[in-house]
Amino acid sequence: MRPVLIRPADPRSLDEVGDGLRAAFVTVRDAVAEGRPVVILVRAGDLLGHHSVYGAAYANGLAGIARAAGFEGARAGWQVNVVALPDEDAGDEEAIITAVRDLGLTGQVLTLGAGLAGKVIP
Amino acid sequence: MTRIAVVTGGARGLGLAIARLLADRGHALVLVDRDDAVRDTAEQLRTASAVVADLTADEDVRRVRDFVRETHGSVDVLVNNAGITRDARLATMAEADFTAVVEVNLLAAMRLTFALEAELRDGSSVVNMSSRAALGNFGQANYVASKSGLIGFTRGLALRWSPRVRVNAVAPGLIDSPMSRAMPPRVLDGLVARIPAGRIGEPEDVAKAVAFLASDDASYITGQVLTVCGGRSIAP
Repeated sequence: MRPVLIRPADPRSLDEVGDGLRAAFVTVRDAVAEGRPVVILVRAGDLLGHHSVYGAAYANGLAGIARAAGFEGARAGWQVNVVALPDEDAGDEEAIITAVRDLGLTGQVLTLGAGLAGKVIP
Repeated sequence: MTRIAVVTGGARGLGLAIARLLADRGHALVLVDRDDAVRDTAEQLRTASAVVADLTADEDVRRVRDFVRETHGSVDVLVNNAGITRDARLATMAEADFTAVVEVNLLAAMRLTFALEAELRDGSSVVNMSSRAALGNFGQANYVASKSGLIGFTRGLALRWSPRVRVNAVAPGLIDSPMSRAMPPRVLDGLVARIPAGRIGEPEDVAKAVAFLASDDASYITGQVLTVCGGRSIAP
């Protein structure tokens, strides 16, 4: 089953952070109810606040949703993960999404690229 | 010179413990809470004043900012502690409960911090109250998202406001509170048994971490999360 993909737009206000998190929550809730895996794509730099304050709050909030789903739904087989893409070209996104699904992970934040090497683990 | 600290959610619980310790260490306090009880708390602390406000409302945030500006002129410490829970399993959590928790725990903290930017003195400190639950917790997708988002806000703001203002977060684990005392004793005992420190945390444990990050002793620390959980976040 193809994962449900959440690819957030860059928020530019508090309202957009709140609206984006709410929309992602509803998407995740509905997807796991249907037994569908979810992959959330964020920019790796947003997890450490490199791009904007709003983007940082949003990306980490999304990671929180994935972790909560992982914590709560692991036994039920829910798969909700975050893939943190490098700022440069990430390569074949479709292959990344498929690989994440096939690994059977849940509640994880997978950081691609070397941009956050040597930094705090998000 | 007396340092000025603004503490949200200061009427009771963790906020009260933080306010007490900061008062003991010579701060003049502005306690903000939507609960009227904050007035009594401020009276007990003597060096505190109270503002009853709902920080999800722009006009109330402006009222807090105006009070701080008129009463003290500037701020040395801002502690974004106000928070709520609306727990439910993810599959049955109402959209409104998700939104309410994110509004109070994350967006209101961001709103007040931005509003006080001009009042925060050079060398001042913002401390955001996150939670160990930001790493994941059962039945708290809304709370986890809000507290994780607060960590992102902490990091992003620390990079933008450095070196003028330091921004850090404290992430408490299981703390003795009316909420923890309401748990069935067997459940609570089971949770405590998984804490390497062998005990439940006290509000004062968290207050000490906040006071440290707020102080000049932490002058080289910004954008960090100090987890106060008795080691629970690394335990199996």
